[in-house]
Amino acid sequence: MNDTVPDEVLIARIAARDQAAMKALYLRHQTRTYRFLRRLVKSAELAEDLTGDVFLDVWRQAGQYEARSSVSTWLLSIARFKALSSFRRKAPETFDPETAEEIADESDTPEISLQKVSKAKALRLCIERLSREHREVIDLVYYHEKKIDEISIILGVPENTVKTRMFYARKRLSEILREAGLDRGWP
Amino acid sequence: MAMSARDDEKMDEIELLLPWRATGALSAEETRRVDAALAADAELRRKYDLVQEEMAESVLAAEEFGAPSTRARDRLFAAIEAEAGPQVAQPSARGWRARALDFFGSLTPGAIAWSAATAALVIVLQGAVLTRSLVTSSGTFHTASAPESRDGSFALVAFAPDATAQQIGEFLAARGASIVDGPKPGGLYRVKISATRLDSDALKAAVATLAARREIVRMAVASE
Repeated sequence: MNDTVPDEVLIARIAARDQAAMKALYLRHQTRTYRFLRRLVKSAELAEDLTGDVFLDVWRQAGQYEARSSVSTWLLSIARFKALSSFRRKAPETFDPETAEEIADESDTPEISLQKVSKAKALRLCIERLSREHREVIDLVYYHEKKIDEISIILGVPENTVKTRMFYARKRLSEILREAGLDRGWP
Repeated sequence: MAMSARDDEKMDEIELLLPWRATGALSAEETRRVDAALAADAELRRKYDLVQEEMAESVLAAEEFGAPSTRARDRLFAAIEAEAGPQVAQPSARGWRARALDFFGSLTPGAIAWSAATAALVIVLQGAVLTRSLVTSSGTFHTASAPESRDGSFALVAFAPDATAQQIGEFLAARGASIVDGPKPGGLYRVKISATRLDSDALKAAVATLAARREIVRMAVASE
């Protein structure tokens, strides 16, 4: 299928049960969706499973798509919902979405020693040490290049919250870097 | 000169926007404001350098995740295949929906991109555009496209922005209508609403029936 066919047309075709359109949409968006999920859930295997779940939802619900946001924004919204649901399934008795968003995730993240890695690598490692909430907003802005209103839709928060959350994510990133011995002089 | 509280507030707002300036995701007006502030403030430029550094490493970090395996793809499409069942040719089922979808697929990217880009503007300007530019004195539309078959009766239709593809498809199918051309400037589609030439009153009635479904149809007018 022509890779210049717009996403919205592919969705319309998928709503009509066109598997070729489904394959085209999957090929176009699988990597970004998977990487967003990897950022959230960390496990490669779980991210793969959730990526499949996202696109299975698209197959089933393409007819419900409303062009209020771009298809890629819609996909990331579904992906985020899938990730949050997986957290709840994992620890149904202890999961608290409020605190879970605030706590920096330091599990399976190696200690950062600036003697061993470059500044660039240190920055990448420090992104991994941010809380899930901060990781996702940084990913949506820098990697997915989403606009403020699009991120507002994906996260379900007001646009001003998107801006301040990004600011605090960046601030926290600088703090983690400083703790690792790399002072950027900000904030 | 000391900065006022208002200047501080403005600067804070500019600083919040720096990440989106780096990715080119601001409006033209916001970009202009941020660029003006950057040009005037060395400290802000230093902060912007940090933003660009973060952006570069965030992209690299995401790319390090690679891509999902073919196993994931195979499993997904096995599930889809199981849900869809065997695909058999059903000529009789290639009605309005398939034709409409074929039509959408045949559009040039430029035409579709143009339509998408103007969609929001069209909603605002709809009344003015329709009354001043497209509707002739006789109350019908003239289009610049090559004439299609003259058989049948047609309407120019703009669908509601909230209407889903499925809703539109079902709506048209229920009336035996089909999209034959579009989107035209203004997000308008030429829709065949009858296989026969309706007289003026019947055509008006048919168009009014379409327009009555406001959750699906933003506007509809008879077309020659």
